[in-house]
Amino acid sequence: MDLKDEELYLLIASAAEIRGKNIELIKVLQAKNYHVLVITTNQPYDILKKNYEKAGIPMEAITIVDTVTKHAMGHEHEPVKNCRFVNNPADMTSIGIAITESLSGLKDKKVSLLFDSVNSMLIYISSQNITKFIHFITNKLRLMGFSGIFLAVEKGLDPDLLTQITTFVDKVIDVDKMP
Amino acid sequence: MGNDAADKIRNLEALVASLNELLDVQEKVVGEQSERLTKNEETLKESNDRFLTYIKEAAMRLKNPLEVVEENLGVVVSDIEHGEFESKNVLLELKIQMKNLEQIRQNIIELNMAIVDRSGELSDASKKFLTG
Repeated sequence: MDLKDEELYLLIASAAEIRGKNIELIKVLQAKNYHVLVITTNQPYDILKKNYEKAGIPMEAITIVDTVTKHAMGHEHEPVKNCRFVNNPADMTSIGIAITESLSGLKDKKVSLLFDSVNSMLIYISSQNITKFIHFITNKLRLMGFSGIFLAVEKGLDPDLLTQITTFVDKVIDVDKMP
Repeated sequence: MGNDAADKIRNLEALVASLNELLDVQEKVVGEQSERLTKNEETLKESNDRFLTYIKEAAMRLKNPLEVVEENLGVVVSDIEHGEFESKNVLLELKIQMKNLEQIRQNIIELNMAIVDRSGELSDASKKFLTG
């Protein structure tokens, strides 16, 4: 997969492929010496860590903003060095702050943000608000000169929403249409 | 001019005045009807637009999220079938899916409320059922 520095991508995959793409992309990004900031709205930190370790991905070059663990457990997760736990996946303000603080802490590094996924966030946020939120993140990434990949399942998105998100990124990668 | 002719002229003048009045009333009625039709068309269009927005948002916030939950549960089942699981992780995954389903139920109520609030044709019992 040809990913360029400082570019933003929307990666479209099937629902069945999206978990695998998360791991595949982190491997590609780490091979390019990126520190990856994962925003997870579906898989919790503990599961991601287990899957990454199983795939031989070192956790040192990964920072996670986990929006689901605290909400599901109903209490605090024990503190973890490379993860910020946000109260609720619907709390865009807290997620925004966690992303801003994480990016600021990584400003001396070569960073790529991996947003997993637009679809699972739609459970908690309206399409109107998700558009504003992705616009906010993409603006921040461009200002800081970072790259970013937004994962989405095409069939789960209304064409109007997909068109809007497409305008925020440099390129759309459709996994099904890849050679 | 004789009295007869003068009477005829007066009668004709009264007839013209009466016809003018009638035309004024007719014009007013036609105007009101046309205004009502335009309003009905606008209401119908507004209702149609609202319905289409509902369908699109409902598909994204109900159909797609259910697929997300289905996929996530499929992974949990597969992990259990292959013996590749830790109880605490399975518990966490299931708790997340419960929260997702809780939110999807909330989304159904929220979307129904958007329609019900603007619909005068539903009984109170139906409104309560759709949004309760």
